[in-house]
Amino acid sequence: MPCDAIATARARVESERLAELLTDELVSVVAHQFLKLFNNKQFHTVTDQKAFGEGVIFKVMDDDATYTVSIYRAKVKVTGDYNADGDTCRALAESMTGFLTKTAGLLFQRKVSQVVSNRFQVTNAQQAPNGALVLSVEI
Amino acid sequence: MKARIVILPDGNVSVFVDEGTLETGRDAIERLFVKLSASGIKFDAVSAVEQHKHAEAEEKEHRHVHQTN
Repeated sequence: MPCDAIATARARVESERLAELLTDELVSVVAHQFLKLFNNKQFHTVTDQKAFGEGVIFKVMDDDATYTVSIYRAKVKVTGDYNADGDTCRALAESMTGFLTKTAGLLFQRKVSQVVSNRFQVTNAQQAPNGALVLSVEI
Repeated sequence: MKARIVILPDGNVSVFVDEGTLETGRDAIERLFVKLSASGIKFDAVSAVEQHKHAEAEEKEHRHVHQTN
């Protein structure tokens, strides 16, 4: 059996700690691009404003309304003005939360991979279809 | 000592040691996690080191995330 092992162990980093990898600077760049492309470029104007130490706030506008997007790590809150569509608020918050969560996961994989590469000899690296990064190493 | 490290984007990391004994494998894995922690990767939970073998009946249905075929 390919997965039989002499010794094995598992470790876990909780999602909240993964989200700590999402700095305000990174969120600002990533979210800005995400908002421009959301829902087939629904939003035609995006401005950003940093709340120092408390995440990032964006104002986005479509043809009808202005939305305020508040992001702290992977937590997203979307509110709108009186013309805003509640479904749009919810869809945007959910989509962006999912996107940022995936981004944090990729950052985690890269960080662990870099640390392993710095400390050990990596003989092979392979990306599995389910998104797992599998490193063959000498430890 | 050959090993495999499986890193999932949900924050789970699994280590499989393919050589030596359970004791030497345990030592190697524990040293690995110490070095990862020293490099800034803080785990919220780490399981005990155990041996991993499957009974024949399990082999047909068993799947692991690191299998690519």
